[in-house]
Amino acid sequence: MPPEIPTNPVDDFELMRLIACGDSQALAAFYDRHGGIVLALGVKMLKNRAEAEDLLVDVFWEIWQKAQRYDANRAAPLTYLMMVARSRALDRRRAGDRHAAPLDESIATSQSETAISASDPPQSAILSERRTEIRQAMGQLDAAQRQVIELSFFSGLSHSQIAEKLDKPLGTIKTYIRQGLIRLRECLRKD
Amino acid sequence: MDCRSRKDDILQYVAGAMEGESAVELRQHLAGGCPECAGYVAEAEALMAQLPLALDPIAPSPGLRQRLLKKIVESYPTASIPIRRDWDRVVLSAAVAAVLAVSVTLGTLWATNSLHPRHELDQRDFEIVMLQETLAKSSQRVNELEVQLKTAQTSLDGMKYTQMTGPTQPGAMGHAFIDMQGGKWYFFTSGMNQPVAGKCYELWLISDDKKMPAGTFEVDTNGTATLTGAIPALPPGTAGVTLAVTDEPMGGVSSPTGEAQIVGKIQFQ
Repeated sequence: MPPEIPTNPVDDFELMRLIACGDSQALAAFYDRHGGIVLALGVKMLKNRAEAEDLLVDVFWEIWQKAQRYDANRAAPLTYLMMVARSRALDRRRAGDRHAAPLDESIATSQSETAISASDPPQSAILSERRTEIRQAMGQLDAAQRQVIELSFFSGLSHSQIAEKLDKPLGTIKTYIRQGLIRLRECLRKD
Repeated sequence: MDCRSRKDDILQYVAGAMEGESAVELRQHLAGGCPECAGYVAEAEALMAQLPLALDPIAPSPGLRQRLLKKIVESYPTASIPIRRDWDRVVLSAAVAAVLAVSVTLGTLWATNSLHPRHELDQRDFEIVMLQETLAKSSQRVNELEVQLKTAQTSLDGMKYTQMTGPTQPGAMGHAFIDMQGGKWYFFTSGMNQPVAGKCYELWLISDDKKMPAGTFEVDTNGTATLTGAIPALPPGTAGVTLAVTDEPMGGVSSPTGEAQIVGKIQFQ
């Protein structure tokens, strides 16, 4: 008889409820589960590991402080976490007055260590599967659409800045972003 | 414009890729509370939030977790919050009563929801029943507190406030007001656990390591209690007092023996 896969009794919604009740262990569990992806987003957007780590602490601190404002009916906990993380990363970029840097995948990949959550294999498996789905969906986009979406989302560049960077007309950039997002939505909806 | 036709625009807007008059017009429409478009916003936000999931997670440095947890432990508020000078007495009394009333309502609702099983009732029905019960009790408490406050010699310069919390009871929240000019203090708490059998809670006013008993109390089924008393004589130049609640043998003691449950600090300057 194959060994049973242990089921995680506490999902993200329950963790957020406990965090709102002041349970720091629940926040620690939420951090253990999703800290790796927040740090990856920070490194991607800020191009600096130390700043990304500061961002990581700030994001989960904000989750802790504002947990009672979280509305489970409006967004899943991971969606909420990613929105907070991206907003804070953009704030840091603006405060640091950074200019768009070329996407340098080597920064992320050279420091990338798969964040294996040994205590949470089911969640790791779920997230890994989701990662594959999203990468496949991104792969369905035209290279140009994918590039401008990444510049817009991860670098926070305006249309004009992207157009200048890629030396393309502004109207073209707007079309790429719009069509790319619509296509992405269709691909993920099919999943 | 038909809202369904805004769906793709909303996706672009949420992605931060819409500018100019189009963005202004859409923002105004969303601010109007359109429920259909609010749903499209939620869909778009969920979609955008998935993009980072394509990244390979990066293991945080080991010290970061501890840094975060240390920040949380150190976050229990102890600083005083002086009342603004330009509030008049009526507003202040009403504000104090409002804070306490809201605290009673929230504390009772939270404590009740934590203690009672939910699976037997529809969530909404349960909350309605609890709110009705809480409102009735809160109304009575507010009346009692208003009588006490009205008799206090309240002045803006003299009123100090602190919240009281502690890791022993993370769900509890205490509120303490000190009326310096009137010479009285007011304490209210909610969300506290029932003390173990044979014990009660005791409030202490601590100044320069001198621990003055300020009264014992038991909490009701919702974990709430109130106390009030006169400010004891303090040495001239006393910078502030610490208020603490401990669990003690029934009847109280003259010097604290139990574990601190919730703590707060009031600075006079």
